[in-house]
Amino acid sequence: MTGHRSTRKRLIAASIVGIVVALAAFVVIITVRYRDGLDQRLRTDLTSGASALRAARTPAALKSVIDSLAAEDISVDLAGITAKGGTLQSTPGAALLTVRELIPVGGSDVPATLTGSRAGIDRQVRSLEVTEAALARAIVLLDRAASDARASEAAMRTFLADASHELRTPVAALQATAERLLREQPPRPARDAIEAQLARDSRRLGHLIDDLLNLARLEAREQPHREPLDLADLATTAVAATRTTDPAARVELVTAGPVPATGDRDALLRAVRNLLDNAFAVANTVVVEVTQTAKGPTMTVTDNGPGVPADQRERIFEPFVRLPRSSRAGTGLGLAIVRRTLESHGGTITCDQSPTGGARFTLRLPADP
Amino acid sequence: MGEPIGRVVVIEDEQPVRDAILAALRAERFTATGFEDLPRPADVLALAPDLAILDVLLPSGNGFALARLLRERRELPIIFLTARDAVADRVAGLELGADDYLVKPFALEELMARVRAVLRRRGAIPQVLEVERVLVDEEHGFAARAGRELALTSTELRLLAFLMRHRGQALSKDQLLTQVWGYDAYDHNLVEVHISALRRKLETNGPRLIHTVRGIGYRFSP
Repeated sequence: MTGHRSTRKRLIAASIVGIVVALAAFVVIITVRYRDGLDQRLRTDLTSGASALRAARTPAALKSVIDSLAAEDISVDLAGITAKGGTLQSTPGAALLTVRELIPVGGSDVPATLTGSRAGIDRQVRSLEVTEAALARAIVLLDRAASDARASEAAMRTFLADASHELRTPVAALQATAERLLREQPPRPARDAIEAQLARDSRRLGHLIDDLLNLARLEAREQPHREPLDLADLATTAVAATRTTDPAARVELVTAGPVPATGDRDALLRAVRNLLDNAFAVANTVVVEVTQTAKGPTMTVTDNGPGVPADQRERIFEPFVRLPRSSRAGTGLGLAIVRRTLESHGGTITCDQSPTGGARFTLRLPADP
Repeated sequence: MGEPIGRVVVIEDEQPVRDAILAALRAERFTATGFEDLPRPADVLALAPDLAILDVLLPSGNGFALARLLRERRELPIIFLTARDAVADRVAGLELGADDYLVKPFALEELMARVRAVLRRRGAIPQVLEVERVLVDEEHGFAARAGRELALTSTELRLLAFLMRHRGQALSKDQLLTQVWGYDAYDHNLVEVHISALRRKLETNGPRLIHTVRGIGYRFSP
């Protein structure tokens, strides 16, 4: 028993010694590597000092190079021309590395010895410390980027959950209505009404899928297609389209001639039409005004509806955010598409209140460069 | 045949879904009332319902909140409908003592099966279905005719129960296929094969009850 125990003790002791030796070796290797790295950098400094000396053709230039090397804690011993060259000292007892060079001075090559001092090493250590601080800053920035990425991933997850909810709702209506037809076998007029409901729900689902795709395209494409366009003309087209789909819509366009801008005409047209659809969902009169301001081409869309409460004026640009009183017919993505479109153009879209209490949307494109 | 069975309240803002549920409930002779938004709890309780079918996300609020108010006043089974299937929602629903939870889109027959199960448990509808001395107990998978047990498969039992619930109606093969087998089955043959097996077993013990309706399908009647 005791024999076994002492064998085990010996084994444990040997293992501990082994671990200690391995750790010590590790520390030594790391230290030497670190030192080697510093020495390597000092050698590089010395070599570049030598080439600076070689390049200095006149005694005056030589002196200024020697002075600047001394300022960097590199001492120079230039044989034979010490008297001419001026200040030349060596730093006694501090020699760590030397580089011997032949320096052409006054038509002949003169042997020179450059010596890097302990101070040079210290300076390298300091520069390493600076590097370390920079790395620490970089880690902070990386951490911030990672948490930004996590936040946008969380936003994406929320968006996907919302989108699946929004998709399920019309699909549930389609399935329930189709099953009702199947179970009830209703006679003609009732059956027509149910089939019309099926068609409406299919259309609603189609609109939602279109808008989801539009939004996805905007997210995926960094830079929009840019072409010169006239914002006043674009507004005219959007207003005409609204009048075609809804002849009863009272929409007035106020412009004073062309308002040149740059951007993706189709995408901007869709954005303006979304603003108009949005306005007519809650109002019956809309005024569109296009002007060229100091801040750039600007369009306002003002309606006579109930307006948007102040605390909702940013939220309404988020996907699937609807005001309590808004109709359920919309996809909930119209304003999100408008905002993404303007952001991709470097422009802005904001919502405030018109003097008469309705909602006013202000669309601004960047001034032409 | 005309015994009044079970009162159900349906609170669902999507009109097509609400209409379809109400129609399905009424077709099975339940008394059904619909609300398109959160009603006052008193308005629901005044109907003395046996069961509420409640959408979680309603225009003016959350269905869970209404469920809490209703349950404070009296014990009422609730089936929640929702377009969200997040685990958190399921847990929130079940913590309130929801009797069931159905994620949209759902098959109407699945909802109806759950409605019947809840109402049977409450005694609001009979435990067994009995027509013309044919008896079906879906919960226990038992069927008999004139006092003699019928050895039915589970599909045959579901098919027989569906025919009996819609007794007197001509049912097409598509109706039977979708409501008994679900939406992954497309083969009319499946219906024919099971109908003939069911007839063979039923008719050892009495006259024909499942009649062929030419050009349409089948009808359960004496």
